[in-house]
Amino acid sequence: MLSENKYLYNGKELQDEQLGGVNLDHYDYHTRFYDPALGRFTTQDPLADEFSSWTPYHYVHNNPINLVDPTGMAATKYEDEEGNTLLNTNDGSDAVVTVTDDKRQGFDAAVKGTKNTDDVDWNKSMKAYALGFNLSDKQETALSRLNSDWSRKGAINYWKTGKGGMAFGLKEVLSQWTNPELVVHGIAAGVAGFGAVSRSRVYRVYGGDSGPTGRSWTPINPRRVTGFRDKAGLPSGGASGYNNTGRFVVDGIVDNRNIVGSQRAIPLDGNRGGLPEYFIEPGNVMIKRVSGVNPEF
Amino acid sequence: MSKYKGATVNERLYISGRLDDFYMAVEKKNIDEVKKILVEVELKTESINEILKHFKLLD
Repeated sequence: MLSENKYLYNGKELQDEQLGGVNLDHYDYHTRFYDPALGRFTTQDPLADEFSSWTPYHYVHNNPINLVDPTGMAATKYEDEEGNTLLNTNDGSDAVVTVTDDKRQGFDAAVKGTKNTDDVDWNKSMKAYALGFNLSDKQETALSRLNSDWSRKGAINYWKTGKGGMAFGLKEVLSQWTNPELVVHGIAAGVAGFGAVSRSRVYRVYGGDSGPTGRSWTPINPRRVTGFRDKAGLPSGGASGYNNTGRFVVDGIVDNRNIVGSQRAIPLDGNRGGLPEYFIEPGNVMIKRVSGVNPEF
Repeated sequence: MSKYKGATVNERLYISGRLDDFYMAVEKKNIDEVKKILVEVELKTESINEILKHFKLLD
């Protein structure tokens, strides 16, 4: 059986964290980075190692919240309690379903009894049989946005038991990233697609020719990024003709519905870009803090 | 004063309403269209070439 504890995470600093007096619990993630499908590049990103779990850019969409992983070839994977694969089906779902021992006989019989294990309806029935509930379209969408079978299994376990929270995302990310800030964002990446995600913490570095109320924000805390100017692709007095001095940082919170789009920063003035960049209309960010930076970014 | 003052490249594209067009052109490797859009957002040749190289659209 799947252990509930397998997906638990004792991240109290995340559960209890307050931001500017705003309580932000697990289901109201204070930081978030959407599914990699939001910002896929056609080229190798200079920060590929740092953001190794992100997929390369493919095409931008205006509404990241409604994005569905377009990679296709989704397959429901049925596993036994030991994690051994019993069946892979090409049914357009990314579900990873554990068939418990008590349902194994029925599962095996159903497999033998069908002519097409790729059939969508057959798989819906089998998933419902194995899980004890029907996966909703919303849940299927969420599964398509997770990065690994491990996370998908964790998500299903969460829906099945109501326990385990979002930790499945964290564990996965911890295995890939060591930067705490990225881990935090990775948690959210692991759960992107859940309706519970409602707000994100965002940052804007400005100064000089750049003001505090522009459309470009990042979900990554600039204070925790080495070489932020380079990775953010800030205008730096080169051919762009302008200079963002990086003298100030705005910390804000945005309702996710107001994030119009997301991309990785593009190179400019010798800065390589690569950091995630959110596009938000002025006035839609709740400013929590403005602070000076010394030395400047 | 330019509306693109102090803006990142993506920010320029977003402000101009050409963000999706740009990435579509990148995906299709339509270099002329990519250049055209970048010129529209008031980037100069040096910056445009930097971006084209980034997207492997220029050697």
